[in-house]
Amino acid sequence: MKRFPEPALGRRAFLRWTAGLAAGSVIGAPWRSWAQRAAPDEPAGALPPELAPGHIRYAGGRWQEYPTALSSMLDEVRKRTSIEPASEAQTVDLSSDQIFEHPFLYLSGRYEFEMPSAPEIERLRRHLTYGGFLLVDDGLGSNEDGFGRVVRSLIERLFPRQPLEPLSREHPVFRSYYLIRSVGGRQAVSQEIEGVQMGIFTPVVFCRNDLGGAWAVRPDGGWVEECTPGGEPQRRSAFQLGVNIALYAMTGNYKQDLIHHPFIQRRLNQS
Amino acid sequence: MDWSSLHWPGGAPWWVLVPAALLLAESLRRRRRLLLERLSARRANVLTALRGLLYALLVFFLSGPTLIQRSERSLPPKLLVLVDGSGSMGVKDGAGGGTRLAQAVEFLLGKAPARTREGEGSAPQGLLDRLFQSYDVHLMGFGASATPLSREALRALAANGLASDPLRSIRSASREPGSPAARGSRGASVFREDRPAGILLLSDGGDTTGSAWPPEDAGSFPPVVSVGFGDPVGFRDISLHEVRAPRIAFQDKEVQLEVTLSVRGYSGLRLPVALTREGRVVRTQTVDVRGDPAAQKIEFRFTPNEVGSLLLSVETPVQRGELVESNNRVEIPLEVRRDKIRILTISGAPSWNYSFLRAALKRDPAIDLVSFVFLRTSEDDPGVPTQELSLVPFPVDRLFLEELKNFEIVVFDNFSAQEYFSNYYLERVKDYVRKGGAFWIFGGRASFGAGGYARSPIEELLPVRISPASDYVAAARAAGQLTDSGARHPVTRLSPDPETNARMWASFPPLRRLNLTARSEEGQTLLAAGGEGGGAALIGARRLGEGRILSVLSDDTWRWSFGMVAAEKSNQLYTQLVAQMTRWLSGDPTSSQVQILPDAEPGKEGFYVARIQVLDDDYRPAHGAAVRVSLRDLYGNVQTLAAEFRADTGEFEARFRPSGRGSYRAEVAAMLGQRHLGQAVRTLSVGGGAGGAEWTDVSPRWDRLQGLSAKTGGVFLRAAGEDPQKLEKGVLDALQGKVPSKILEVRDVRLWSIPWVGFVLILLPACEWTLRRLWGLA
Repeated sequence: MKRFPEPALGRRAFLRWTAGLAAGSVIGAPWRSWAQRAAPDEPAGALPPELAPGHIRYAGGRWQEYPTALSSMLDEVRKRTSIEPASEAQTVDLSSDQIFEHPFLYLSGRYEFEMPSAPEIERLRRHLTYGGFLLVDDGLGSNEDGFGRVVRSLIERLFPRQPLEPLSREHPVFRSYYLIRSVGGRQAVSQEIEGVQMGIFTPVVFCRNDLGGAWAVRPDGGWVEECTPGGEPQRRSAFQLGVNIALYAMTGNYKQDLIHHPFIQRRLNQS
Repeated sequence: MDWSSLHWPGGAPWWVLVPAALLLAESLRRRRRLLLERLSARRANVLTALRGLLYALLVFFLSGPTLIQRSERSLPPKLLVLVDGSGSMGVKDGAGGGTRLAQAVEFLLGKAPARTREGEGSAPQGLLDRLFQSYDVHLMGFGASATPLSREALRALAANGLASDPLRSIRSASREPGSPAARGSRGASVFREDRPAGILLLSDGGDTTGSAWPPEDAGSFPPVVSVGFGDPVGFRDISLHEVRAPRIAFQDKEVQLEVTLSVRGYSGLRLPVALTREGRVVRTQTVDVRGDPAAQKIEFRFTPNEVGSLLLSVETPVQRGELVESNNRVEIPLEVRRDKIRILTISGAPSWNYSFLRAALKRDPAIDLVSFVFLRTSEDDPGVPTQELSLVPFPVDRLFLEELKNFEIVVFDNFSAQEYFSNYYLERVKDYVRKGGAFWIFGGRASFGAGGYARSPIEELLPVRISPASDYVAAARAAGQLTDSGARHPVTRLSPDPETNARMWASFPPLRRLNLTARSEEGQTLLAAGGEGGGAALIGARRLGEGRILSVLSDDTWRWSFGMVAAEKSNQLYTQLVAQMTRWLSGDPTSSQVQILPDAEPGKEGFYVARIQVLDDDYRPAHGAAVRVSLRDLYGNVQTLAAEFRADTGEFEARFRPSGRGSYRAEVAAMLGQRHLGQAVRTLSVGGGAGGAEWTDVSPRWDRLQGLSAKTGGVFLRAAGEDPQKLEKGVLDALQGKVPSKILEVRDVRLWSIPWVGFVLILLPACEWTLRRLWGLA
């Protein structure tokens, strides 16, 4: 498998890897599990991280196809941007108000799952209506079957008047940090990203290319899945899209402010 | 006695009557059985019948039977005399060059007695005296509504009513239902109809309500004998009225003003009309007047270039022979506001604090937001060439050296300036605030002490003292707790009710990240305290010169929004707090510490009182403040007034004697020691301001009076050019023919109050007792 060099060789990742090895040699456990024990719920007195996504757990199907996908993406965010993210996502249930501790929610899977109950849908609707954000990552990529079918039905119930629509290439998701021209992922089902628009904000972004599959890493640092058909450039696009989506969730559409827009357009034209 | 008028207006309730009747019936049945044991059936039946009749009568009278008695009595009929005291009655086209009102008063009271030696001569009799001889006269004056008048008050009546509504006064008097005038003894009530039998109306026909004349319900009015004052033939006037203008205008945005010019008694005039701003002519135009009467719309366009209270007026010169001068000028007060509140936000990193703040600010369409977010630091490697990034170079020179003055508020959100530029630029921020700008700083890992602001020009601005070490800490439960200042301050006073306000703040979810700072010295106000036990500053406010500074010592305030949503409430309190912070920072007049309260109130001896609220930085009344008030009158004369603090109201009061009805421009500046608390400008209205509805059209409208009298069965008489004695006779004759001299008296008589009823009630038991004795019963 061809390696996309950045995730394993960054300064911070290298330090963590070294520390992980050292710790692993003492306690006889893989570095990843050390990191998981050390980081998750912040210990008393520790500053809560700025970006701590909530990974939605649901019944039926498989809510966590790639357990390392989000932590890998958060590593990328830490390495590339000024955001101080958590080392990994927190598992959240829609039945709990805990989702309001996590403005950024992540919903992923490949298979059909049980539709959340009406109170759970109502809780999620309030979350998204009042400033929260949901990234939906479809590992199968089909509109008619599996995860995608249930998610579309869920979004219809969430926002009956705001349909899921393809986002234009002018949308800040494509330019909040990287100037993205192709939508990456483990697979290349669609070059479109869909979203639910509410006023000036898009609280739901839906990608069908299995971003998590492209982000996930093995304990030895290798990639869990190959990206087809585009290979590593397609994986790089998946990471860039992940960074852009995280930045969009936290900054909104400020890149569309009059002062930024002409500059970005000029740069797009140049390249 | 008319038994058909028997009715039951009130007596014992049925649940008393029915059991009583049943009880008495049972008693009667037992009594008859006992009597049959001792007497023959015939005698027993006679005695039972007598007792039964008594019981039946008792139950009947308990039910409260009442008779209505109607009778006609020759009493003096009630006559309502209504005298128009509205402003238009002050026009001097009455007899002998006097006002319409003076003519009306003289007509009623006779000429005012000349000063004579005691005992010499006597006051002449006026129409009112003659009316009192034949009628029950109720004298009232009216403008917008009617008030009773005495003779003395009538003599002193001034034509200063700001509106005329004669129909309302007539309606309220003529539709008054019958009311108990007196309560007779032994349950008999006397009702007399209070509705007047006739109305004598002395007016020029002015009506500022726009009602139709005669009104549709005029048929229900008593006969109205109206006397019209003024002179429709010789009436000459030019008036400006019907202003169409926005109350609020925006800086540098053109507004359109429209007024109506009405001309009566002139034709073929070329009239100059000017738009003036506080006495200075701004625009002029010439209007050709064709026809008599004529009305024409005049339009001006005006662009205000300063924020604040502005007094414009449209005026045209007074023409020869014009009867009313004051309506040649109409005033247009404008409140000029900023078109947009421009806010510059600089964020050290993407954050939820920024995300939620931006969403709250974007709710207000009047806010123009320019944001810079540092998406990466020098340590972050984007992994691609710069051309593939959307990052805009931070225009530090342009922002801090050129554009800063164009923003109302500058926000540092978790932003450490030392990583990007020198203190030179921060000095520009300090200057910007001293000159009236607003600075809003949020906490975070790159702010306050952690951001390297200790001993920087920014620290000099802040309402808190910061430590050179990193002060960014995790907090277990940093809930907002209001300080005393915070309970009053417009930033944190979320409800006018202190208890509700405290309850609202208690409902804010706790924050988990704080910058720990120390409270600073005088002139700076701590609004809310956070941290466990409320020891840490959370929100601090300060005024520096003309500038305002607000510190929020956390970058975790998004939890106030999302936490409230979690608790199944909305995020309304968070958005309200952000809106109030923005308003205070932008110098919104509603949050000013110096406020002139609207409309001067009449005080004693012809003085008016302007009330001024002056508050210290912590929004307590600043009783020790030096308050300078200057007042510019209608003619541009400026006087300086002394303002005195009143402990009972917590306000300052400035007394002035107005030079006439109209608008006065008041300017107030307040200092507390060396500290400038603020200033305010307001247009104060004295007596309703010039160009009021009453002065729109002051021409005599006899046609209205004629129509009303005709529809009510009354008579219209004109006062102009008429011999007073002849007019008086005309009025008396008209009233004689139209107002009935008898009134109907209606009485309610309770049956038990009739003497013979009582006699029957005594007679029945007496008969029974006699028969019992005769028939050998004890």
